[in-house]
Amino acid sequence: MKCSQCQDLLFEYLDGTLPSASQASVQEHLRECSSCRTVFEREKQFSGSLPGLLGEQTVLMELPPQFHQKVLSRLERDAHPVLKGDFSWFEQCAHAWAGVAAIAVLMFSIAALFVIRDSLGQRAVCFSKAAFYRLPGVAVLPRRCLSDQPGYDRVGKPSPGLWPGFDLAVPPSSVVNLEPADL
Amino acid sequence: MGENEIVAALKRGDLSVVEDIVGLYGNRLLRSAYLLCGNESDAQDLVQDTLVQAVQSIHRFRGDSSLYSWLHGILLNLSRHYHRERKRLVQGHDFDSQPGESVSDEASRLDLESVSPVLMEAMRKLSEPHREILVLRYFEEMKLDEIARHLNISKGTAKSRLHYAAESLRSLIPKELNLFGDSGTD
Ligand SMILES: [Zn+2]
Repeated sequence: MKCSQCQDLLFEYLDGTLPSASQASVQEHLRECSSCRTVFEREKQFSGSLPGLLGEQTVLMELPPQFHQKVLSRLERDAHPVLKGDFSWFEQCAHAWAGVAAIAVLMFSIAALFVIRDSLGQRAVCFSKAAFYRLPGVAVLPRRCLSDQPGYDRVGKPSPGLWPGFDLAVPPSSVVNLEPADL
Repeated sequence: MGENEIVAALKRGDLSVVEDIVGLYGNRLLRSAYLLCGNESDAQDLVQDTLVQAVQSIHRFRGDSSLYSWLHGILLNLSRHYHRERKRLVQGHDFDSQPGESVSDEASRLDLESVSPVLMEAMRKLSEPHREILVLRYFEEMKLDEIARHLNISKGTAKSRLHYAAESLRSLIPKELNLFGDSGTD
C-alpha cells in the first residue's frame, strides 16, 4: 500500500467502516511507515480533544422551560397566518382589534385627504380641522398647506411611502385652532 | 416515547408529542445550533424554527435516517439561511469594514484559562462549510459516510474538506495553548 492510499483511508480506518481486508492492510502499512503513523496519530489526538472542548463549551446550555409551548404557539399561529409575532392569545386579540381600528382610520383618512386634494385647486390653505389626522404627535397634511403655513416644522424629508403631495409634519399647536378655510 | 411513536403521532396531527421531541432532542439541537451560529439566542430561534418546520413537514420524513439526523438536516439548512441573511444585512449596512483580525494576535495574550473563548472565536472565523463539517464530525460525531450523506457531497469531498477544516481551525488557535495535545508534532 502506498502512503497516499493509506492516508486517503484515514477517516474510514478510524471510523472502523473499512472492509476487514483494507483495515488490515492499513494497519500493516502503519506498522512500517512512521510518516503515515504521525498523520494518523495527529488526527487521533485532534479527534480525542476537539469533541471534549466543544462539549465543554456547550454542556451548560439548555432550552428554557416550556420551550415546547413556544413551538406550539408558533405552529398555531402559522395555521392562522394573519397573526404573526411572539404574542400570547390575549395580546393577539388586542393586536387584531388594533389592526382593525388602524385600517378603519386609514380608510377614513384616505377619503378625507382626497377631499382636500380636490378642493386644493383654488386656495393654498384649505384644510379644515376635520381633515387633519393626528397620529401620535404627527399630522398628515397636504404639502401645499405646509409650505404656505408659517410655523410648520416638517419632519425631515417628505416620506416617500406617503401619498404624493402629502407630508408628515409636526403641527404647531396653533394649527389645532385653525378654522376651516373659507371655500 | 420512542422515535417511531413520535413520528406516527405527528403524522396523525397529534401535537402533544412536541413536548417529547423537545425533551429528547431539544438541548442537543440547541448546542449544535450554537456551534453553527455562534450566538445563544439565535441558536434558540434556530431550534424553534427547526421544530416548527419539522412538524409542518413531517410527511416528508421517510425514516431512511434517524429522526434526530433528519431534524439536524433542517437545522443545517436554516443555519445556512441564517448566515446568508446576516451577510446580506451586514453588507446592506456596511458593517463589515472591520478587517478580520487574526485570533492568534489577541489570543497570544490569553492564558490557558481562556481556552474556550479562543476556540469559539476560531470556530466563528471559519468559513461556513468548514465550521459545518467540524460540527458534524467532532460534535455530532458522525462517521465519514454519514457526513457525506448529510451534506450531500461525495466521500472524497468530505475527506478533503475535513482535512482543510481541521487545518484552518489549528491555524486560528495559538500553538502555545496546545489545545489538541500535539503541538510537538508539526
Ligand atoms: Zn506511509
